[in-house]
Amino acid sequence: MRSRLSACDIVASSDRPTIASLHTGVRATLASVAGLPPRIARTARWMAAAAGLAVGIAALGLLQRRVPPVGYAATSTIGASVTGAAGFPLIAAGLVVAVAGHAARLGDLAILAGISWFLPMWVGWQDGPPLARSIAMPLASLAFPLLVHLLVVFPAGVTRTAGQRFFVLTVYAETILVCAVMAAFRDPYLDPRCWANCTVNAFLVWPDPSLVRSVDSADRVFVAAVALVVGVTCLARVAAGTRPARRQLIPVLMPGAVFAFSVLAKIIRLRQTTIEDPFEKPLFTIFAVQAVALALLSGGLAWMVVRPRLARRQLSRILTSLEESPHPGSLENALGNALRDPRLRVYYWLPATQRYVDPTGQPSPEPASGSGLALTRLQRDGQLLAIVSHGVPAEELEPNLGPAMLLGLENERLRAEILGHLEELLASRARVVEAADRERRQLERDLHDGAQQHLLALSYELRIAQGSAHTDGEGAAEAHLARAVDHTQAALDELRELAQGIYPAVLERGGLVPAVAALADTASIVVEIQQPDVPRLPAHVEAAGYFAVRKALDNAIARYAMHATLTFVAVDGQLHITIDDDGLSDHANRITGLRSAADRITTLGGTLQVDPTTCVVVIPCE
Amino acid sequence: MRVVVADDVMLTREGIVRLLRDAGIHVVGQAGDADQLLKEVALTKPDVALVDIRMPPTHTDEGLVVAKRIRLEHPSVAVLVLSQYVEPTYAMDLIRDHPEHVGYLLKERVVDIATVVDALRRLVDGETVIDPTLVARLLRRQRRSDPVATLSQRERQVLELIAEGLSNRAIAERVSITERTVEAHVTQIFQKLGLRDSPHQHRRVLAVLTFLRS
Repeated sequence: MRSRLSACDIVASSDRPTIASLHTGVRATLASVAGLPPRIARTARWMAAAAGLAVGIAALGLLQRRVPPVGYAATSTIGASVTGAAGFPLIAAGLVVAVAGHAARLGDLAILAGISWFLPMWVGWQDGPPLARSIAMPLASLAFPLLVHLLVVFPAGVTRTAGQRFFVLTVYAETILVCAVMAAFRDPYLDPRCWANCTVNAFLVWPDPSLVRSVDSADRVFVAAVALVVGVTCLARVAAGTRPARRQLIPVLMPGAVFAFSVLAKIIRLRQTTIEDPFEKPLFTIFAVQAVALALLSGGLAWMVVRPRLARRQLSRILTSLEESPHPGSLENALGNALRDPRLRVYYWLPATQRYVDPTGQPSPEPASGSGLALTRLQRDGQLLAIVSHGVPAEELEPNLGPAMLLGLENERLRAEILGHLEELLASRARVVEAADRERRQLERDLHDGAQQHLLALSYELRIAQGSAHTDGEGAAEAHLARAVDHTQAALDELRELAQGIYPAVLERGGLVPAVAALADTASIVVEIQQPDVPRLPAHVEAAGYFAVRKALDNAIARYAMHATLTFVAVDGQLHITIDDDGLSDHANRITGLRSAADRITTLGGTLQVDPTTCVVVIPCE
Repeated sequence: MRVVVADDVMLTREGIVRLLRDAGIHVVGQAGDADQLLKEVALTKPDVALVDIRMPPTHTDEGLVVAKRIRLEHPSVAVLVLSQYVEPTYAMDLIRDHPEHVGYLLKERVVDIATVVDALRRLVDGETVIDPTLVARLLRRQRRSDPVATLSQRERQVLELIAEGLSNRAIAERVSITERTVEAHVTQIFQKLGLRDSPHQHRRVLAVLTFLRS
């Protein structure tokens, strides 16, 4: 609602929006907007709120007078109620927001808008002092730019782009310019459009009705345009936001859009009926809608402060329920649920290894803020604990959380660290086993290609020499050479057994079953192999199975078994080997004898179940 | 007799060649890998090809693979696979499809040149040759309720020679008994072991080996 009259003092201050000021309290509050020390700003703020309260109560008090002020509030009790319902909440919500600290500017703007909202009643104060009425007129017209400013900078509290700054500045500038013109040149007595204050303008320089008329019309057009832009922008911002962002924007921007469109509606209506008559139904309805919108907007502002506190309370409740049996990622889920942000992710910082891990201990790259994702650093005692990447605007997550929350986070971080280590350990164990196998195979190959070949060649040479000695009739030499050949054969035999023991060559090419069959061939006990129709499996699985069987057979023989049965089953991606023997029960012997096999098997993620005379090996085949 | 020798280790190959030549065998070609061997066989059409089981590129059982291939592509050429391993799996795999004219010997056996010459001759005749060490190991295998134990000593001896691939006549010569006696022994043995006697002497080698392994 704007009315125009009176001169306005223009207070310029660098590049901040300019606002007229007469009240000391108001000026001080404005100074806080310009960036004065917080203490002065705080005091000023409280004073402004108190002043606003006083203004509002006084304004409503005016309604009790014999001659009520001209205005919407005076038309009926509804009018008075909605006026109060918009003004007081604005001031109260503004104070709450300003005190809460996040975006103090929003709070300040709301307080000022609330004061400005009550001022038209002062303007319409029929037998009030002319100076007060004349001063109240321009101040009352500030409600619109103040609210526009508030909607533009919501929720951050500051303008972000040059475009925004320009827009807001323009609206203020236009208002002040129009105020100045009206104050200087408008004689309300001569202006048919005047309605609230038709008697006096304390700042009148000289009357110029035609100028006033054209300025007024231009002003209406401008306000209509701005209202349209603001309304559409509010709706667009809500539509474009992510779900969590929308939850934050809607409580303020939707009522803001309604307010903007109602201003537009009023201007359209005024084109039809030039005189603004508060008793006219459509105009009054529009006013009521405006008031309700502002009331809702105040509610939205207050909600902006209350919601994070509620979320935090819910969080700590979730935390206490987490103590019981948390699994990795449960804290992340809890946070995400409490803030209703499914995209929330927690990245724990491990100072020991200087990297980030996710809740399961997997290393992850440094989180980066991206499309619609913000990052909040969580700290404990000044040390970085974790970085949370989330979709809700950053104001919802505070960097310094309550002790319970931090403890929970620290716990999860420890767990993540341990899980990460565990994974590394398992991987390293597997590598060790693999390396050992590789070396064994290499050793076997070296024996085969090296020592064995030399011995073979030696045996051939000796045999040829023996043949020569025979031909030459050298019986003694021949005899020696014959024995030499025998020795060489024996050496070859032993070497072959040795190589077989290190790593049977057939294991690589033929697979598990032929290798085990070879074991059974040379075992000193009866070994039966049942169901030997397993397919070829990955090399490390077959090697583990082979060495486990070998160890188990050795152990059976050591316990004086006479007979062992091997059963092989490959099912559900797992290899099951059962080794049954009839040896003596010897638990201690069992454990030590099978330990190396057990190690190798558990490295692969399998199990080794040991009973007195039965051994079951389960190895997953990837 | 004309033979080709294939072994990727020159030292061993030349040793074998020398021993063979010393024994009067005519070595008409040598090769260092499977492809070269195939070329030599195609070129020289020997009576027997001696192949090392372990050859490039993977050094596992290329010899087996090329042995089977030679049997397919050159049916008139016998193949003797030489191995440093006593590996019944390889031997049985070798004789499974085409038991005639194939043999499996240990490389150490080459020193026993008489055995080798005999083996070569048997191979040319179309018999199967299995290294005695391999047979001995299988016979020595511990078995539950061992039917082999029920054989007499002579029968056991005969069984051993059957497993080595000898024909009845060859067995008769080796043991100095008549062929008829051998046949009788064979029938008895097969009955005791519960095996079906096959008229094809080659099939019975696999049957016996399989039995001994189970």
